[in-house]
Amino acid sequence: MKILTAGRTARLVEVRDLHEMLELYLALENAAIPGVVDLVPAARTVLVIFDANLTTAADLDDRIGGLSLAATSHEPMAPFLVPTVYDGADLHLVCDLMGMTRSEFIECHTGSQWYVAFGGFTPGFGYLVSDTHTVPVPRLTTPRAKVPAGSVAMAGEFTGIYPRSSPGGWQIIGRTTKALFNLDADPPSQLVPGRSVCFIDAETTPETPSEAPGATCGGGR
Amino acid sequence: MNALQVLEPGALTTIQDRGRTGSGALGVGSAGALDAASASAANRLVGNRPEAAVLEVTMGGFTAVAKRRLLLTVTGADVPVKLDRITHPTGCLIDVREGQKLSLGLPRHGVRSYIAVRGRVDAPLVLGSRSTDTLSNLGPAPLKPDDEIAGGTDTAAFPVADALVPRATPSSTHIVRFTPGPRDNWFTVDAMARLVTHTWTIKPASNRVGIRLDGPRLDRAIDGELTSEGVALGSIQVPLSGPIVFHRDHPVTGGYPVIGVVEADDLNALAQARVGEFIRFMPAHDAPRR
Repeated sequence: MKILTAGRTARLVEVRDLHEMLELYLALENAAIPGVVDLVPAARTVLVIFDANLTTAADLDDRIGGLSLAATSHEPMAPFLVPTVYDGADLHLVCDLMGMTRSEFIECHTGSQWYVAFGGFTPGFGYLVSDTHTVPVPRLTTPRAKVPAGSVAMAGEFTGIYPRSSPGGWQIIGRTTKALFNLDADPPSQLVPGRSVCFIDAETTPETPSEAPGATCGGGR
Repeated sequence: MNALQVLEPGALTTIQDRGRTGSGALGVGSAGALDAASASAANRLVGNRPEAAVLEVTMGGFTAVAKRRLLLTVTGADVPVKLDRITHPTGCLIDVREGQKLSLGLPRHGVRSYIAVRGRVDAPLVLGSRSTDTLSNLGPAPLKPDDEIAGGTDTAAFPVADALVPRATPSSTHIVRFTPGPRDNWFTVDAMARLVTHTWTIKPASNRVGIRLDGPRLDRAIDGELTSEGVALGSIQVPLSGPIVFHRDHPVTGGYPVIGVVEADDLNALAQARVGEFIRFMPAHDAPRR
């Protein structure tokens, strides 16, 4: 773990990989260190923003350094189910890249256990990763000026869902009507870091399976 | 109860308070008044709590009619203020009667004006703040002609001063202090030298998201792509197109290395820096060591 200075009121904590980042993020959430006002998790870092009236960088570094990461346990949240129509404009390119037919790709994508690594692109967006989906997908060389809301897309090792219409350079593989961001809900975003996500082929599985805690993706088929 | 009806919003007028915190993991940034010091002074003058929402007017041109008797003030940019035909200075209390017209002209110096109304400007709270975030479209929409602005009744003590001492004489070159890091090691020693010796010019694409700068190339010591990471308010991010100082509506993460982070006080000054004006960077004398 390395702690870098990001101005007078933030520490950038860098760890080895995504797994360690999630452990660190959950440990920071659980620890609720006095003076910490916000956390921004990303691929290998957590930005810890603090109120300099309540704590100091040195004290904070000690507290962060003293966190035991592996010991953190968090309550399993129900997986977030995303019924998806796999008809995206870039689907054939992504299938070619992975050397799969469309149906093989759908089976692989819906059978994979995804989880939210971090957010950040726009409110409601989650960078989703899976241990079984590791072939990196290149971004489009020219981003689209407008990607419709609900688009399911891939880039790098990630799958993401556009919560609202925006410009974007990810390869679109499908679409969903599932709502991702609702200001009246708590938390407003469904895709909080650490939550598991299952994609469901909306064409072959019209009924919504149960969102029971601990359920696995692609189960029962 | 409505306080003001907008006739002309000008280039951009939004409702701002001190911003929202605690939603970074959801991709939600802080927003809030860009010149927080001027917004806070305006609230203090009218006897509001420091967290009260105010109007942030960009480059003047704002006119509105009072819907009831109001006590208000205009701070920030050096802008001509008129109540009907009578000129008022900025930074003083103005007693406005129902039906009177408040108008802000073109600022002589500075960019952003803050209008505080005793009792606060009211709007629904979104994730704990009334601020408009122009990047993620959260909070109240920017004001349009005919919009009615609600006023609250939430006050602190009765005002004890009726005018502010104007700030130091404005200059077209702004001194901006910063703390190096977190990714200063991604740049050559020469790049850091250039950052602090060159006089940077503010580019037209500057806005609430960030102040974009024109100047020499800052060479990298480390090639390749940085994995996206959280960026702090005031971060000087350096993509190939030139440095950008992230202001209150900045994205919460970024994929380009941050060479340094600007001091909070100087972010207030940057909020008043105009396109075409100049910036000199200076390391903060007591910057935290890495």
